[in-house]
Amino acid sequence: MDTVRQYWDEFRALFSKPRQFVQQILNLCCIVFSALMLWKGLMVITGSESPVVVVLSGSMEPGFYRGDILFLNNPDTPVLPGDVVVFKIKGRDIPIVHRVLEVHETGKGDVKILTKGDNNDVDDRGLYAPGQLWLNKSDIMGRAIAFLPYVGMVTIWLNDYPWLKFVLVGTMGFFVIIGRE
Amino acid sequence: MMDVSDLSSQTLSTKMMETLSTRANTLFCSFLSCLAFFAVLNHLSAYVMFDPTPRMDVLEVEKVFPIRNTRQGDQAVFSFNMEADLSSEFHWNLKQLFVYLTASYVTSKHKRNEVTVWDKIIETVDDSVLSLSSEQVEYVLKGEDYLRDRNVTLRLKYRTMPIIGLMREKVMPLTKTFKLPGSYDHGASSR
Repeated sequence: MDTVRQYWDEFRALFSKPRQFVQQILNLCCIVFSALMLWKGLMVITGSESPVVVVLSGSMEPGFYRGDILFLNNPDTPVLPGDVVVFKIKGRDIPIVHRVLEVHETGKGDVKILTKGDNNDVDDRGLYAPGQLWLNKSDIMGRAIAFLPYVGMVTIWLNDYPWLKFVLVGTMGFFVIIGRE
Repeated sequence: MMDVSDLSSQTLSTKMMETLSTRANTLFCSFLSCLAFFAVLNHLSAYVMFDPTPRMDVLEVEKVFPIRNTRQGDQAVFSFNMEADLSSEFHWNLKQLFVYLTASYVTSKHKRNEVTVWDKIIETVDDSVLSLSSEQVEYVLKGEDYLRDRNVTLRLKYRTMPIIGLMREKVMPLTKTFKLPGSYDHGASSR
């Protein structure tokens, strides 16, 4: 309780020093914008519109479990069977991470791609939009190149419990404003 | 260390509480940095210390079944023999291998067809020696196209999936090319 009171005192003391208060606000902005720049920078380097994704389902087990993180890139090289791709389906909000099973490229350069989850018995035709048989190159948001286990669990919690988001961001903002690490 | 005898009990307890949260914070940060450091070390050391020498001795097509002509295009099925030893790929940063046999061929409609016909997830070193005979393909060759008399090239590939770090594609140099039959299986074509 004393700690809280002390933090509160520090917070109140800020108002008597408006310049310091403004500086701390700027600090906070600096952190937020650095994170944003990092994200946008990654987008430019990797060429993928979402360079980092969290695995949300068990359809790629035992390779990827819920909460694992994948790093993506999106090069111009041809998509190959075996590639783990992240793709978007019309009418579905959440992108899917599955493995490429078949690739057929027409003479004009159009690519027809069929995917399948490692843990699924059948290919993904049932997941695609009604009547859709193949994915195009434009459906692919990126290909997985690196793997980091468990870390995405935090994101899943933040999504499942929205209040956690406010608590976490609130505390972090508060501590930055009163000038602690 | 610090002489606290002249502090009042109020400030003393505040100091103690203060150090508690700071300690927890420091502990947590050090824990994360250590974890990150060893994760990187784990990944890099596996590159330096292990030099995988995968072997593949046999890749044969055992039997090619007659092509079926369906409304979705031709479908071809065959069986194969394969012997490969991937045990040298396993080290402390390898979670599993995704092993797959691809068939690539050219058709009139498609200049590049690359299709997985068989795949397997290998999780332990004990399962990493593959010895298959008369193995039927898992996925039939299809693709809204005609397949008669096409040359098909088989290739074994695998993906290393690490506990942490980069995933890589590896291709075995041994390939096998064979020709699909020139006529349809008329008994099954009506299905």
